[in-house]
Amino acid sequence: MKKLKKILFYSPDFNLCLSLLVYLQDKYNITTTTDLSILEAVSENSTVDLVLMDTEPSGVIEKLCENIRVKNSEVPIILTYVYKNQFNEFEKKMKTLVNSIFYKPYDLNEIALKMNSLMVQ
Amino acid sequence: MQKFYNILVPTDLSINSTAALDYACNIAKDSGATIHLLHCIEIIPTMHNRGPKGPKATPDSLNKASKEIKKILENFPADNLNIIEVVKSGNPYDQILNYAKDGKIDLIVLATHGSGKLINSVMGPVAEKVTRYSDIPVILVKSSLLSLPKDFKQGNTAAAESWAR
Repeated sequence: MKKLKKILFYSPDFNLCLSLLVYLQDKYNITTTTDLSILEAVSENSTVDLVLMDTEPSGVIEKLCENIRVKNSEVPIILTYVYKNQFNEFEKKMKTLVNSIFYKPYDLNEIALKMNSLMVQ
Repeated sequence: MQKFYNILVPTDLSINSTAALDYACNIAKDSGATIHLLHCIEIIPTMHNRGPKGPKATPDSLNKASKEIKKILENFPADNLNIIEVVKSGNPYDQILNYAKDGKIDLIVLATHGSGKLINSVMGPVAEKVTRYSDIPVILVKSSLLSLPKDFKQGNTAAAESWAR
């Protein structure tokens, strides 16, 4: 049996976690979490092929991405959120830490394509 | 798109860990899935419990765990839901992963304590290892019920209000 790529998805919204899990479970080995601390622990210590985060940029998220980059530099990170001008300050730095940013509303197919291309690299 | 038929909810019997049951019940209501509520008694090998098949839990501890699970289920409005109670002994994440494989589980819902000190919490390392080794989809839910009073029950609004304050 073909081993599926492991995706870790974080969102504080449980319904979004469940929806994305249902959408992606046929193609990927997916874990979703509403707990930011587990995202950090799992992505630093485990063999995760991609991290997908649905959260607004902030100092906390910036620090988290930096930690992931230090301990697991190869793992691709995708960030999704609703664009607001006030995030400009964080966005410049975030763009150096994550592989891709999608603004809401987004097309899930586009994200799926991006995920595939990042995991092939 | 795959439907859920069997959902595994591991619990260490704390209120925090059983918060996952609430989420699982909601998923099961929509999908008609069976919930497998699993508690694993962790046995640390000693001179006395070492045997050819590894350390085993005593009948007393198994009975106690069974009673605790029944108590937990009394507080859940699980009408029309099929919930299977399971008690196992051994290493929690091994038991969770083995049960998930053998029980044809298609979703694991596990609560984390959300303390920020994940590695030092009880369910933290279990959640981390389950995530690492599971081939089955996993949802890790952050429990916000860190100091829920023991007498909390549905309808006991005074206890809930006092906890919220």
